[in-house]
Order: sequence, then C-alpha cells, then structure tokens
Amino acid sequence: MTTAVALGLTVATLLLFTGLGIWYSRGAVHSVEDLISARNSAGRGQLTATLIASVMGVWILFSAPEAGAGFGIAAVVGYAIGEAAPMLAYSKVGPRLRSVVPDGHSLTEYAHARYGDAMYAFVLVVSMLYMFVFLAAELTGIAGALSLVAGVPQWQTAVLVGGFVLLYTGYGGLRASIFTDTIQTLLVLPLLVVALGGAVVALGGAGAIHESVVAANPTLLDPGFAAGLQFGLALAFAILGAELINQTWWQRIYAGKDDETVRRSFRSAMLANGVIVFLAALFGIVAVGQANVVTDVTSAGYNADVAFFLLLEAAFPEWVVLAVVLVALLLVMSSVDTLFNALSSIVTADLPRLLADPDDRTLKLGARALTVAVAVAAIYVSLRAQSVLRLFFFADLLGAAVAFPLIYGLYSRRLTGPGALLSSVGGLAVGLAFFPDFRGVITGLPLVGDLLPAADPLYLTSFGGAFLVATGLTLVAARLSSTDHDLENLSRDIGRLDDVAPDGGVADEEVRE
Amino acid sequence: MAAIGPTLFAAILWGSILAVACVFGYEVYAIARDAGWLSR
Repeated sequence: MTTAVALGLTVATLLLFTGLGIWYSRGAVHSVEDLISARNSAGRGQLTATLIASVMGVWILFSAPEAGAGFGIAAVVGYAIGEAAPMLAYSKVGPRLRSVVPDGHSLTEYAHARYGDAMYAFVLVVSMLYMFVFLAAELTGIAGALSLVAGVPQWQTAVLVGGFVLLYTGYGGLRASIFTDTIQTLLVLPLLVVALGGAVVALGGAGAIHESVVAANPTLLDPGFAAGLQFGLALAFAILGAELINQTWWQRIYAGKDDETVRRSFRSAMLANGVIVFLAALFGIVAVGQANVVTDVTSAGYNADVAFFLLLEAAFPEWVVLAVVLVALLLVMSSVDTLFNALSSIVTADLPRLLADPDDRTLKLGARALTVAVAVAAIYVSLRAQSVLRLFFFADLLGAAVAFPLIYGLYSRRLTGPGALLSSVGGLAVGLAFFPDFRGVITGLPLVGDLLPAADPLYLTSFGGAFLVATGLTLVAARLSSTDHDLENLSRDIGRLDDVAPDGGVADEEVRE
Repeated sequence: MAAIGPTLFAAILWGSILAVACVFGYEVYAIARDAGWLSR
C-alpha cells in the first residue's frame, strides 16, 4: 500500500467521523452534564456498541496477537476471559452504582465521597495513569501500524488522528463519542469478519494454517501449555483490575437509559468483547505459522508485538490490507475519543470542589480545555513510545491492587477510607515484590530490596497476588471495622453539575447553546 | 496435554469468526429496535 493511499484513507475516515460527531451533537450539548455524562440517553443497542468500541482499540491488532504468538491457545483463552470478566462485573456493579450514587459522574468523585482525600488521591493517580497510558499507546499503535504498512511518518498519523478526534470530542463530548462509537462498531465488526475470513481462505484454509503452526511451534496449540495458562490467568487479573478503575465504564453506566439497559448491555458486551479478543489473539498463532515471528523476549529481534502485521505483509492480498488499515483506524478513533472524554471528565467532575461555585459556562469551558490538554499531552507522549509502553503493565498492577477496595465500598457500610487504602497498598506491595519490570528500582529499595522473592516473568504471582491480597485485606478490614457508613450520604454528597430548576429543566440561562 | 487437531482448530477458527458475525447481527437488531424500526 502506498503512503498516499494510506494517508488519503486516513484523512477521509477522520473527516467523515468528525463531521458525523459534530452534526449529531449540534444543539444537543446544553450543559456540562451533556458533555461528560450524557445521562440516561443510550438504549441497549447503542450502549452495547459503545461498550464494544470503547475498549476495542488498535491494541487488539498488537497485544492480543502478541499473547497468542508467544503463549498459544491457553493465553488466547485467558485474554478473552480477561476482557469479558470486567463487563460481567459491571453488569452487577453498574445498577448498584446508579442506585447508591444516582447523580454521579466519575469514580474519583465517588472515591472522595466514600473514602476521603487519601484514597481519592490514590484512585485519581492510578486511574489517570492507566487511561493516559492506554491513550498514548493507542496513538503509538496506529502510528506504528501505518508506518509498517504504508511508510506514513509516525508524527503525521498521531497528529492527524489526535487532532480530528479532538475536534468532535471537544465539541460534542460524550454524546458525540457514543454516537460515533455506534457507527464505528457497525463498521468494524463486518470488516473484521470479512478481512479475517478472507485471510483464512487466502492462507489455504484452516487445515493448511493448522499444519503450518504445528510445523513452527506445536506447543502453541496445546491448551495445557503451562506458561500459556499462567500468562493467560495473569492477563485476566490484570485486565479485570485495570478496567474496574477505568472511568470509561463509569461514564457509560450513567449514560444507559435505565438499570435494565445497563445490566443487559454489559452482559452483551461481555460476550462480544470476549469473542473479538479471542479471534484477534488467535491470529497471533496463525502468524507464527506464516511469518518469521520471534517470540523470545530476550532476543534483539523480538517482533511478536507486531505479529499480526508481519502476517499482513507476508500473506494477505492487497484488499485485505486495505480493510485492516480501515479497521485499525476505526478501532483507534473509537477508543481515543472515549479516553479523551473520560480523562477530561474525571477532572471536570472535581472542579466544583476545587473552584468557588463555578457556573455551567465555566465548567463547560473547563471540560473542553481539559480535553485539549489531554489530547496535546497524549500526542506528545505517544511520539516517545518506548517508555510509555513499559508503563502499561505497571498501570495494570496498580489497577489490580486498587479495584476491589474501591468497588467494595458500594456494598459494605463498614469499610473505611484508611481500610481501603491500606488494603490497596498491601496488595500493591505483594504485586511489586514479584513484578518483573523495573526490577532494578524495586530491588534497590532500602531494607526490603534484598529480601524480595524472585520476579515472576509471567506476571501471574504479581497481578494475581496484588488482586487477591487486596481483596482479602479489604474483607478483613471491613470485618474488623466498627464503622457504620451511611451509603445514603453518597447520593446527598454527589449531585448534578448543572442547576436543576423545579420543573426539571436546566435553570442556568447560559446553558442553551 | 496434546496439541489440538486440525478439525477442532478449524472449528475454533471459523467458529470465532462466525461468533463475531453474530455479534454484528445482534448489534444491527438492537440498534434498529432502539430506533423503533422494528415492531416490539
């Protein structure tokens, strides 16, 4: 594919969705509430579509096949379960959140009201780090993909994608994001089916693919391959923890029309996201049989992270390459717009506490200014990708440690802020003890550095340890506490950001655009 | 445990592609229903 064709396709796709996003949100953004919560607006089809599009980023063409290529069918199953599990959890947590905090906006707002300043600060840092790394990695991913396939300079792709998505997300907020997500899902799914189905046919059918994988590395097709099972389970813990502190989902819980819509949409997304990731990861195994994929992480020639694109170059006909580039663009747009809005909404929801009684115009301006700041920072950081990608597993580890203590406060009246914080820190300490990345820093810690156990290169004891220890400590802390926290206070402490008039309309005269 | 055979592999590969196609079908149905294009 030539650079000009790839750039033309990119700009045309970006222009189309920017136009659609702005068109859909014209006259629909009446207040800051519409920008960051789109409360009770999405039906089951639309909500399921945005739950698919929001998380299915271009990473499914990088990380998912990388896991399949490196660890085989067991890791493929683990990755799929990891993506499905948070959706199942939210199908239960979502209606509970809407009941306990009916006018909420963000997880940090809840963390502050439920646990106080210290846990709020911890959750804020962890959540923003995870989402920002995700966002920067998405921009890095699409820039790398277009560079590999068509030689497009990486900075051009990052600036184009970031800039255009910023236009419609900054203008239309969450409403624009959900609307474009819906269309993107309706395009991505058939494109994936046609492109990957066409690829199987082009490669000689499933039998020929099986033969080539067996010849290259038969352990990849062994469901009992121990390293694959361990890495798959580690991924499941990591993704579950990280997604439970992802603001994206908290926003969409409030965007659903009602509790039943939220419950059913998250259940549908559980199945959808599970099978999409399963298929994407499976193509990592396919790639090993067709291209020279180096899966040894200690090798200088390691390239399993681009296994899918090696397959693309080696064996796919031109029309499949074109379809995959379009899929990659749609995937990245749908997750980048979601993350722009999620990151800006976290801070916007806290502005009323930080500023003295701001009006709706100030909050809207703040939300849009924050979206611009997030976009510019993400584009800048994405161009320095190596250090960003190394932070991804670290952000997952933080999420695994903080997720359960955060969520449990929706159910337990006895868990206190210090109890939740200490549980998270305890889980994090165990996770760090086994964490294989940044090992020099971890073992260099005074007093404890020399006593630490060997790192787990497959991450299972790290992610699993962090999640399970934090969960256990949370349950113990709640059991030992004599506090009786009135959860009804949450609905009094957290209210809408706009002023609601007695007739239910928005009172502030500035809010009509 | 042994590696999965060609028949099971084909079923998994084509089955997962079919499953994504089913997700698409469901999405079209659910969005049409939301929009009131289908009678309830």
